[in-house]
Amino acid sequence: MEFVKSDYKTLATELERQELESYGSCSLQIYAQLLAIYLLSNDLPNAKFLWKRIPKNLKQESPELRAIWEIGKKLWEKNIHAIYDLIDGYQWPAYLNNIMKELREVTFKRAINLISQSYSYISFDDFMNATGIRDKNEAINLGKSLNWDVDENFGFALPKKANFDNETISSNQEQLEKLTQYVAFLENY
Amino acid sequence: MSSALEQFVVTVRSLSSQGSFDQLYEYCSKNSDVLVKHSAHLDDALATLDLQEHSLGILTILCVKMSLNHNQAIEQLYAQIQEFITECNGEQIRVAPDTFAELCHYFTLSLVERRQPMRGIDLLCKAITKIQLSPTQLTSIHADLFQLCLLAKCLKPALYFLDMDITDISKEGGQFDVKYFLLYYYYGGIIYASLKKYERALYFFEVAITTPSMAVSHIMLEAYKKYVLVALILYGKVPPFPKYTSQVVTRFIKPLSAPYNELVSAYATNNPEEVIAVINRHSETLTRETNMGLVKQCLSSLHKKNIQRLTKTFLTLSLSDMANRVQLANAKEAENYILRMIEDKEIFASINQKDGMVVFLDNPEKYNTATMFRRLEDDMKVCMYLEDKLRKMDQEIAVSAKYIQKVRVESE
Repeated sequence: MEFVKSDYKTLATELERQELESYGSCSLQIYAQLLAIYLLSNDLPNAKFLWKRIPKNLKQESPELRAIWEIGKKLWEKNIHAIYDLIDGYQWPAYLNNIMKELREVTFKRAINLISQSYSYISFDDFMNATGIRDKNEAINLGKSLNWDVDENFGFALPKKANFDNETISSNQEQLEKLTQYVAFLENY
Repeated sequence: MSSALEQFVVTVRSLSSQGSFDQLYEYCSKNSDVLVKHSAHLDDALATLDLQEHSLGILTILCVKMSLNHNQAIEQLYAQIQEFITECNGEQIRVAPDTFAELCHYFTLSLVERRQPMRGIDLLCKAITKIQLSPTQLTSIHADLFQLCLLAKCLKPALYFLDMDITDISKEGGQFDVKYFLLYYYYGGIIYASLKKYERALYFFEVAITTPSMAVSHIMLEAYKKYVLVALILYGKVPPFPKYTSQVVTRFIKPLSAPYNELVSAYATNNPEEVIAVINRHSETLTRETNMGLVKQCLSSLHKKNIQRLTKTFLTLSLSDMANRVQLANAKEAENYILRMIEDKEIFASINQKDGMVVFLDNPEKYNTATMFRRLEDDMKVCMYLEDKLRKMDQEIAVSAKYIQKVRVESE
């Protein structure tokens, strides 16, 4: 499922272009934003390669680059729990603030989605770890809002998952056109 | 400027203004030794030519300058090449695709030697689009671009070209060096594998090893090693060579890659310990051949394959029992593996933490959704395009003089 807004993709393309045109010696801001956006789109291989090609001195001088990559490493390890603390525990500069907020949000949504796909019973602790929620009551409320049953002594019981399908079939006119193409193709064969 | 060089410039100018580029191309390729002799004055000659109007002449001069590789003033030369590739007249240089490719090869080589791969990527992308007759045409510059991308660890620009299925090969001076063809598929496979697009990677390596050949090239050998590893990651076994693979390849490639074959047989036992033993035994070779990363992923794929096999026997299983059966450290690690596999849609299961059990489910796909329908439509579109292409190629062969002559001789 797609969680990331498309304007970040446009921004990423723009940043990639700037990096190429600077022959790989562009500003810290470009690298940092691009790295964060790769993480946001869960594009870990590209994030890893970007980290590898960022010049060494820049990595040493900039604590925020290292902080972003710390998150990247946790994403590789699927250590979701640690990510929330890393995002919350760092004073992000203005140009990263929004992306980081978004990353937190997206990680949260991904976690919820994965849990609802994979568990029939999950403990409060694991649920709170995966979603970064620290208060048990808040967690319970969230679970209730998702129509999960609460088992006070253990955690949540999840209902059977529904299959989401939000794509719509194209219009009749279009469909007819396609069928015409198929028939024309088969006739010519 | 000496008279010979002056003569060159005058000819370039007059032939360009007449628009007889084929003739000019011939003249340029014959007279490059004149340029070599007067290499000291080439910049003077360049100054008298116009980028747009005399692209062919400038191309020849730049190519000579690059081949002489005087390291002084290399920055200036880079700037000239940059300006040329961006501004030159596409119609003119498409008359001389071989010289243009040669210039790009020299440029790539020089950047590689100077360890500045990043600065060539953007320019080579432009160069390829400029020289191509269609976006699905393969040029020998593709391999250069991929090499730079890999060295710079910047793979995304390559994908734009890789995702395009090749339907045509540029005839550079009547011949296309097979080295660049193999490199295209070899580097392409590496790029896809690094981005974890294994199916596409496997296809690329397969093309590299099934290219008709009279001898096993080093590129094919290395491609085969990676082919084996990617096949293990994807399917857990290595498919037999396709029928059209050249005989020399089937005969000689296996004995030349013994550690990899050992890995395959160890993998077939489904026992992680045996695989680890093989990896340890050959770790030096595997690391030297820069395949260790893929090898490690083989190991983790073995665990996944073992878990997948369990789903065929069991409906429900306790997590600790599962950890035992697939030799994972504990129930928690087993749970993590299952989570990852569910996320990647490799198995369908539901974990019950309360009882510490996992229930395996069937694939919920009923093939009745709009998404599935769209996929079917897209695939049909690709097939129809392919059919069309095949028929055109078939027609081209049927009317080619060479083919008709051969068929006639044989029937007599």
